[in-house]
Amino acid sequence: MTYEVIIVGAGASGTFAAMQLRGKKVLVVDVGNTPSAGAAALQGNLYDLRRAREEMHDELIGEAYESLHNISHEYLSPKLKAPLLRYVVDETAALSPIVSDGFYTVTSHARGGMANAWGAGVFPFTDRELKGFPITASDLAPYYRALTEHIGISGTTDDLAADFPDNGALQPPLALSRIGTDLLSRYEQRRSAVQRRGIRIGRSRLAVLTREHHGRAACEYDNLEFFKPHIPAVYNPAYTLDELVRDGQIDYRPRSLALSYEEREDGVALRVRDLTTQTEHTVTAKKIVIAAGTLNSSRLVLRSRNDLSARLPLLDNKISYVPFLQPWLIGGALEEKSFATAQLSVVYERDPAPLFSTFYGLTGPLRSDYLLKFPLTLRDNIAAAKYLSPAMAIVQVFYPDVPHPENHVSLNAGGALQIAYGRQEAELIERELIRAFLRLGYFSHPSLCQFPTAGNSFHYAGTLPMQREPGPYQTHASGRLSDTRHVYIADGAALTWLPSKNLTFTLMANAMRVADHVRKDLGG
Amino acid sequence: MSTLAEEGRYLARFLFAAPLAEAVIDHYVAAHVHLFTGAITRPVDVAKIVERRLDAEAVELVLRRRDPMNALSQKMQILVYVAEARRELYPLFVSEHARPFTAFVRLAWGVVRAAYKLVKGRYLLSAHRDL
Repeated sequence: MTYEVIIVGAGASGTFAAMQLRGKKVLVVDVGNTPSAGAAALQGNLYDLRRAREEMHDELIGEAYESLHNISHEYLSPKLKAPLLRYVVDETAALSPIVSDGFYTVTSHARGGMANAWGAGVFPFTDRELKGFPITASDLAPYYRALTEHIGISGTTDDLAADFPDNGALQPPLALSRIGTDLLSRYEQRRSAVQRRGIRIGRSRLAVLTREHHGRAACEYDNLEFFKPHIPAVYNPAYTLDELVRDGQIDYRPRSLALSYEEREDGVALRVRDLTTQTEHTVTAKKIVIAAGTLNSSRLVLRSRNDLSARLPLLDNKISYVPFLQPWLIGGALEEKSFATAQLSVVYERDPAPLFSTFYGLTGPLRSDYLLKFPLTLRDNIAAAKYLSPAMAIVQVFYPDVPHPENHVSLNAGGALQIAYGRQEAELIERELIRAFLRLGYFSHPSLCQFPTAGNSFHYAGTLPMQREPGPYQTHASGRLSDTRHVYIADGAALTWLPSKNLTFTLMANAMRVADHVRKDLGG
Repeated sequence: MSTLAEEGRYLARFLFAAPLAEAVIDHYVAAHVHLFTGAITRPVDVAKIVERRLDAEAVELVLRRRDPMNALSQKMQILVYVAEARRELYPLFVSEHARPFTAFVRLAWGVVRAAYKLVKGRYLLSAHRDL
């Protein structure tokens, strides 16, 4: 069967390219791992469950002790090491090998991609963040608006309005935890002093429902965000993909790994391995949209050209974690009803674009995940975690990234991606944050800041960047790969540079924009 | 030479006031199969710590300051993780009621204790250089 479009990958980008191309004859090729059957059984409030069940070993620790990953391996975020969320990264080492020295890589073969474990932060790019791109914010605006309606986004208009352009009606913001409420009220009382330091604080825009939306229930504040996949209130591209499949608007072929494509006169032939039968076959289409995630899309392009010499640029948001303590909240009672991830966004103004960070409370993760960081004995650390957790918060800072000759991706003879990442953005704002938060009664110290290995943000981008006049291994503004007629790049690989904002929402919007170009090139 | 189960029971004494359920010790033993295969560790002869009945809490505090990935800290952390998933130890990890005064007293006591254990741990490591 010949399709009009083949889409490789069903993460945030592939799903929204598929949605925008519905009505065309579309095939989505995807490995498509899904949560285990046991995940659906995790129902209720985390703390009610912990009090009710003799042991929550399978859900919190895991049959293979997945949750203990960080004891003896390189740091992995609490979500990705949670036993019921491990499907997000299953099979990646075997199916998508990556060799790197000092660069931590996490890719996904899950249906819905890495957005199965995202923080749900919604960050539209403004013209400041799109400087250097061959597109502007107005090119993305209609897609941001469509996404806002489709996904359901909660938030409000506050001091961050300039950073979050109006893209349509928002749901009311999520209820803040005690520490989030405390920080925001202190900020509102000392706004001028904090803003003089270049810092603004406001509610995060989140793809989390506070009201029922398109059949999905509102957030129930069950503190399960670190342990349970597919919480209805938290948007996941797999929801949209499932709708498209259920309504017969696309063909979806899971357990399929795209190996390489060949461009022909009238279209593209994609070689695919069926992971169930371990056989290979070819599917053809007039156009192909590659949205397998930045690294896997790069592998597919390089392998299709059998190019072992090309070095593609690689971008990644360097991150840091700054812990804060609010002494007046020490010894507070646990908040059983809370949303466990992002609470507030913190913006540090600078040129050419602001730096974004996210303020988290600690109601969600296991105490064991961080109690080793305290300086007391382990026995006393357990007590410290108990009494300090209500008073502690983490600010996760994202740094922007631009292409640099030392940071690149290539393909080796064995088919593995080889990553070199020798240079990170040097600018550090942790001290500024600590000084500004001190004015709000929040204490920290630079020595407590954590800087995970490069790659830990999982925001990989820029390997096949869109340019006004693209050269080899670059894409046109339409998403079409240079030197091709039928090949389009619709994921993070096409970003020209990486602003400080979480990129997922923009990947969705850009994939829809690229899909519209594909539709146009197909003749409407 | 102690077995892993004996080792788990011994180390748990330094973490929890009451003996742990055998299920926790079973998990402690099973976790070794998954966690100590090519992992990044600084070798520590934990068996000798158990045999000589040394204060594991004190030794761990000193070792952790030198290298957080040392084998003793890793093993004690396994116990902490596994214990956190147990109902009977839930109150140890979670503050169900607001108790700021208790919290400050407990934290202050923890600081004093840690100072003492640090000195003791340094002494033990200097006296037992073969660990």
